[in-house]
Amino acid sequence: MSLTIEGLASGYGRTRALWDVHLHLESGHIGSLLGLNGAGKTTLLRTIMGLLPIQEGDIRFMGNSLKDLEAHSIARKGITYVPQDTALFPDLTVEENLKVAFRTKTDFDAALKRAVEPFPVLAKRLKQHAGTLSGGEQKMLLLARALLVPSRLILIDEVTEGVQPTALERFRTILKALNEKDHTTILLVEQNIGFALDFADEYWVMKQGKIVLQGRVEDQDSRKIIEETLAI
Amino acid sequence: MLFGVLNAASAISILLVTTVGLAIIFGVMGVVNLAHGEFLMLGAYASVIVTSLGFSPWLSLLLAPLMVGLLAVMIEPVLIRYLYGKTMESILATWGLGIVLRQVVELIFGTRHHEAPYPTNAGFALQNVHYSYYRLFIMLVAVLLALALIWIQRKTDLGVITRAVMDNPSLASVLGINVKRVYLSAFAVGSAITGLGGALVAPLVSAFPAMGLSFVTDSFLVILAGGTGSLPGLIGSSALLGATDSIISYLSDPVMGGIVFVILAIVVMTLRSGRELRERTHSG
Amino acid sequence: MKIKRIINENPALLFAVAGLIAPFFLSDYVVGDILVKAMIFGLLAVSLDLAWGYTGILSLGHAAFFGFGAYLMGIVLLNWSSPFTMPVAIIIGILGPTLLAALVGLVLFYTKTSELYIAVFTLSLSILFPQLLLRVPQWTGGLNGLSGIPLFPFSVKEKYYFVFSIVIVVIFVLFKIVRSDFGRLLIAVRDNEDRIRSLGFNTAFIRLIAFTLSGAVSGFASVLFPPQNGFISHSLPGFVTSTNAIVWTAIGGRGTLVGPFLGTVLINWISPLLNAQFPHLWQLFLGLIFIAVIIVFPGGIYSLVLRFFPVLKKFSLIPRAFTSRSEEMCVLAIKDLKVGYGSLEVLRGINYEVRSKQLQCLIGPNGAGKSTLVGAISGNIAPSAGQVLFGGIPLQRKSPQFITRKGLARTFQTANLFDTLTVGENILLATYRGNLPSIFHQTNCIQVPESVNRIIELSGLQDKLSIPASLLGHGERKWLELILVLCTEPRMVLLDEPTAGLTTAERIEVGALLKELTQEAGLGLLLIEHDIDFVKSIAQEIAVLVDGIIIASGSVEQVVNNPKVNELYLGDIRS
Repeated sequence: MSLTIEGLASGYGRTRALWDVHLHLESGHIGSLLGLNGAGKTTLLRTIMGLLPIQEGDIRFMGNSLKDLEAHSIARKGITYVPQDTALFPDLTVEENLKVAFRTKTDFDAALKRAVEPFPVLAKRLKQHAGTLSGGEQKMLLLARALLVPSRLILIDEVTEGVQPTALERFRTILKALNEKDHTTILLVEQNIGFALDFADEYWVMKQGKIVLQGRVEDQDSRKIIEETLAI
Repeated sequence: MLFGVLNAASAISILLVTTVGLAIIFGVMGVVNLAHGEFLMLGAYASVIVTSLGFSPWLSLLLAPLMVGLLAVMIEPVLIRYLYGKTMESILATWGLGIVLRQVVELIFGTRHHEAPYPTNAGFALQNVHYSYYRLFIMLVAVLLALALIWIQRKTDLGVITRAVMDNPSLASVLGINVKRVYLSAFAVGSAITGLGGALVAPLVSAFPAMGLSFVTDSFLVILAGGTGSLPGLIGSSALLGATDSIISYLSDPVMGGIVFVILAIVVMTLRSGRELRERTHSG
Repeated sequence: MKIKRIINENPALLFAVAGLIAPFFLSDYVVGDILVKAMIFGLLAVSLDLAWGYTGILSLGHAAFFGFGAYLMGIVLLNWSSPFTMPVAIIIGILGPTLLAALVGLVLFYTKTSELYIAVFTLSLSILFPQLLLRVPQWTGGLNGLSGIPLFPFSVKEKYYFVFSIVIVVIFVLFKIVRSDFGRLLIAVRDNEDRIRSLGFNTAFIRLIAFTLSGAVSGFASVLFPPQNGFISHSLPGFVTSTNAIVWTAIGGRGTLVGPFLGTVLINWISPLLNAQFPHLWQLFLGLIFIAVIIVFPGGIYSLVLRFFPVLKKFSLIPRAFTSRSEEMCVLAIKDLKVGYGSLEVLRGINYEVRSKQLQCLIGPNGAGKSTLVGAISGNIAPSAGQVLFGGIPLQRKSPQFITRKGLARTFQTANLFDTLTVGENILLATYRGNLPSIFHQTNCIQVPESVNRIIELSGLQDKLSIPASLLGHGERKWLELILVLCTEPRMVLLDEPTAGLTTAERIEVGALLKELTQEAGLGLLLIEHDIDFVKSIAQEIAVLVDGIIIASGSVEQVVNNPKVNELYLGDIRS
């Protein structure tokens, strides 16, 4: 369940957004992409997910290339994407939003219960239209949706933004449990360095479409080095 | 009076069965199928072919949607695929498709009218006039079709997936839904239903190559007035426009009915878009 | 050589010459029957091109206007004998379609319609019209049509040159119009209606003019047809002719005037031969070519011809002073603004103020509603509640052109330009500030405000004035958009992520520039931004938008140190 990115370049149409990205995330590890807005973190996740074409280089998951695959095929390889923007279907109910993500026919109800368990608020609002939820609740829905289907790799884009600290703590617990129990590989995009370093094993810092720094969280002074890199 | 109501109901149900297929295609994929009239026409001709081979007209009601659906599956990868979400191109390209289909049919069958036999000639007497059971049958089909589609949309997984794809195709894709396959299915099903509609109206108007033209504008006006992607809206506008057309045609003549139809559609559209403007977004 | 240059700019002249000498090489039948009729239909195609090719109005039933004029003329000619019959018939034959087009235009462009609606509505016209004609057989001859219309009292060659010269004159006049500034405006409306409205133009009126003009041109075709044919059938204004016009125009090459004309003549010349040999197959083939043109080759045949005659339109810039608006303070006041889509509430009650001579920034996580806020203020999105006051004038629910003309402009997140027009033409149109350009001027010398001129030089665009906007790079597009917006001489500008996609060096330039605009030109600026460093370096005031409400606003210091903001948005990144 390892993810390997080699010499990746991608972008939007004629605009290049990523240059020569190299990244290797070992199976069962948690990695974090750090950097300021516009650095290319979201672009990288979207490219992995097949939403943007690979212009140069390659992305391999479990040894297989993801190049030229469509988003739904990539999703079916066990890669779950939790986007940064509130990516819900606002006119569908909470339950229907979850149903869309649920691909196998069997036992939706049981899986639903399990996914919603950490979020009692959601359980109360199953029949409500997703668009009427508050921002924090919508984020919870995104996460519940990600938990619904067994994943090998979870790509999370800034799930902490706009979320209250208590809910944040809950997210962290859930993700940690997932990683420990199922050895799910997690790649986290974060602007909140504290949260990221608390949670991840490895990190990569991006600036203007390139990876400028990488390391292991447990290394000395990693925090300081990261902050310095970003401050320049 | 009863006659009037029956006529109105008949007009509404004919509108519905000939429009629903188009509404599905437009609603799900954003493709304007201006060859819609020709798909109806093909359904009608399928009926003619089946009955001329000696089979029962009831069978043609089964085979017409299959044949048109099959044709749709063949056309989709060649043409329709390039038109997703592109309004003007789809209008023009499908308009061209309609021309081509019309010419092919003219080549094979000529331009004369081909009669399609009624599946049943039985009827009942209403004030000394014979009212055909067949028209009641069409009404039944319209009602069943509408109910079936609403049920599918609201209560089934297929409905949820389709609504999701309509709402946000890239998000649906990321969640593992093969959006292209959903589009292909929608196009096939929508076309098949249209084929059925054509076979249903064939006995009433008889089949000729240009028959689709009187249906295509009506269908589009009904969809525009009812709001794209809304089944209840479609039913509502069919009811309103169909009933009005029927009444005016009776009081005056079909041309007047046609004119009022168009004007009423404009009025309803304008009133709707006042409310809809709130829901439209131009940027992020 | 001067002649070479003239031909280069007007390759149509070559075809005109061919048309001049044609009668001497072809039989009387071809000249007098086929070609004359083809030229008349060619005029119909030209009228359609004006509406569709240039202005983007897809009129699927254009033959309705053509047939209407023909019938009017025929009815007058057959029912009234007087020395004035002919001139009156001609006038009515041209006026009729013109007025009808104006009426249809009023309905189509002044109600909230869409591309599809216009197509379906005009299609309905061409289906209803013949039916209408059949309803009044006492006037129209019903199914038999109008016959016995007096023919042209000319010999074959005389008739040909008569029609030919009218065609030449009409096309020549139209050429002048489409190449004028007004013509450029039409293309802009076709390319990007949102942008042209945001520059202050009333697009409904512009399309009405174009459509009415198109009706008038088809009127010319209308009055040439009856004396050529002697007979008008009820199917003339119907869908067959309308469909044919679309096919001819598309295959010929829309948006060129000459292309549709030549395409029509060519197809109408070959068709009688091919139809006789291969009935139905030829029509089928045409249909397939049409589809191919739409999907693969939208420029049509004439665009191929034009590749041999490339023309570079040159532009020059003249700087002038900003038309100074009053020096007094101008405030954009947003009160309790709410925006929702269906079940989704995006803005939950915004209260904020933007002042002139200030540079304010709005930051916040994605999806918080920043672009929606800009859209709601500038008239692209209708709010569900609340008020927007600019200098005391209420702006909510007003059109983008109204708002721009009051002095409030905006840029879009992805640069919104007129891609088929050159950079120079883009700028030229912006300088009109929403006023209609004349059809007589083809301006090549653009007057821009002084500060804008500096931006043009800074961006390097002054060397690219003759290049189509579609060929610009990402950064250049953003510069051009900024230039367009500033040419409307606004008092306040809302900029939606102006630095997205720019390099660090470009960001520094833009930052300095924006600061200068507030200080020297007295503009008020509200920037939607992501780049915190950029914001810190130039903003005088920051507001933070999270989850549809503004959670904090104040000076840079205040906001950056605000604990709520840090917790929710900035994380704990501090510099």
